[in-house]
Amino acid sequence: MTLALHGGTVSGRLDDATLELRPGEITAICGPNGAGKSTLLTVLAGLLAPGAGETSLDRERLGKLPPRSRAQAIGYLPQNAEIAWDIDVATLAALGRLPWRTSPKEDRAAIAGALAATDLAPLAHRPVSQLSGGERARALLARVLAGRPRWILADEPFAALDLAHQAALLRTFRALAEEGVGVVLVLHDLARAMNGADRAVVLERGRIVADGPPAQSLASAQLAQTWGVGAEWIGEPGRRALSLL
Amino acid sequence: MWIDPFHPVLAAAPAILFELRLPRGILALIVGAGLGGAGAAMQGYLRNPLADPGLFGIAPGAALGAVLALLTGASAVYALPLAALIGAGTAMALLAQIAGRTAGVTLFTLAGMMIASLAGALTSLAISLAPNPFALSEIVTWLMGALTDRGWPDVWIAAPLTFAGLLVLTLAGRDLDALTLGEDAARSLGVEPRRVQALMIAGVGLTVGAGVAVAGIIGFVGLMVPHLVRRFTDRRPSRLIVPSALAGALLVLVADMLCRIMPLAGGELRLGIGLSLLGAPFFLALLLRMRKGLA
Repeated sequence: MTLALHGGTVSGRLDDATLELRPGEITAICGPNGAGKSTLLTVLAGLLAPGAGETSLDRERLGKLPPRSRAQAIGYLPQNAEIAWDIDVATLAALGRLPWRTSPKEDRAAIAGALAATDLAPLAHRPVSQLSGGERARALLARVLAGRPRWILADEPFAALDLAHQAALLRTFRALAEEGVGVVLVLHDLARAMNGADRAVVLERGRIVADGPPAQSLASAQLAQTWGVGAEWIGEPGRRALSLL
Repeated sequence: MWIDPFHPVLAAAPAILFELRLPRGILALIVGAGLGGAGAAMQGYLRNPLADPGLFGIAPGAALGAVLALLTGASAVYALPLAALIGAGTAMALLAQIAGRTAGVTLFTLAGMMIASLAGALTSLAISLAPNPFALSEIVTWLMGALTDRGWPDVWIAAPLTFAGLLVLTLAGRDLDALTLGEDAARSLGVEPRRVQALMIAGVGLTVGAGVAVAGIIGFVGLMVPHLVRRFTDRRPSRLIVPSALAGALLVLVADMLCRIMPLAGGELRLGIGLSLLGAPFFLALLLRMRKGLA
């Protein structure tokens, strides 16, 4: 049960990246703008074939897997995801069932579970055009959860959320990880990565320059080297905040 | 002419009814179904409520084929529809060539629009080369789109192709639903862009190609009908295709009947013109409403 990338290279965007993800862990991908975070995520999701190297799921090449099997295993949430038609929340979540050919009963259970986990059950029949930014972000996540993937890859899932929903969403990811789901998040907010993730991968100009527990890979020295800022972590573990010097 | 089927006063009444009116009515239903269904699928594919089945260049391709047939004076009953189908097939083959190279929706559609404008230019060239005013007038009138004087042979051509096309489009339904979330998310749900492209080319090609082959260019149905129907569905593209086909069939049938009885010097109002007269104001109203929605 692994999702791994060996020597992943995408011309100009990703340079010889090797990474083995573990189920039951929240992994944060961090780095300055243009470092290749989203590229790394799409390569891991099997949506972009690396020019060199390969992504593998359970030791099988991701590119060789039928798209539907890949879609059942890996849920991907893009940044600024669009919703072209004014469908309601339950219909949106139901799109997450598309890779499956399961009974309507099983589909309904998965959709109800996803709506409950994202706190959206009361809004199930509301059209997406009438949702707030935060509700919309959660509805898009519900779509991913409805597919019950073993891996969840999300690009900046906290971006449009207020503090309370950020905390709730992190709890959702934590609960999923405890069930054995591997969670990979592209995060801009380093404090969020420091406090919420089990592992942080730091990218700099397409290269993985640090990888390990956040306390190590996001240490002050790394921030100075990769982001070019003088900063130090204050507060106690689990509630750390970044103080710029 | 009004004919009471139970008390015909004319000796020719059965012939008029079964050889002219009936095939014409059935043809209106078929052409409308094809355009409505193709329009719904097209809007789903492009994730844009302003998309129209004409965007792929298949209708202009078919029109070019038909114009060439008219120009060369091919007179057999099947010659013109067949030439139109060859034109549609050529446009489809060109699209498929492009589709193999780019999987993205935007580039693919732009390529389709280039095919449309190329076919349009070639059609204009062909018209300008018309040998005499009669040929010219015949071509221009045909391009306007109509169901006047069509018979059973046209039905036998259009029906199987249109139904095959609609079937192909419904096969793309799940993929079109997934595309609601954008191309990346759709691919993450297992959608294969090449497969969707192939289904769209085949489905739109068959429905629109068959429609143009028997009726000429009939605009706005593919654009209008999905809008009228969408509010009655759950707004998933897959759930829009069949209702749009049914509503399109009804719209073209009613429009053609109105055109036929419209008193107009020198014959009847051409269906293509009638629908465009109806469609353009509708489209404007739609744009204004969308602008209000966006503001």
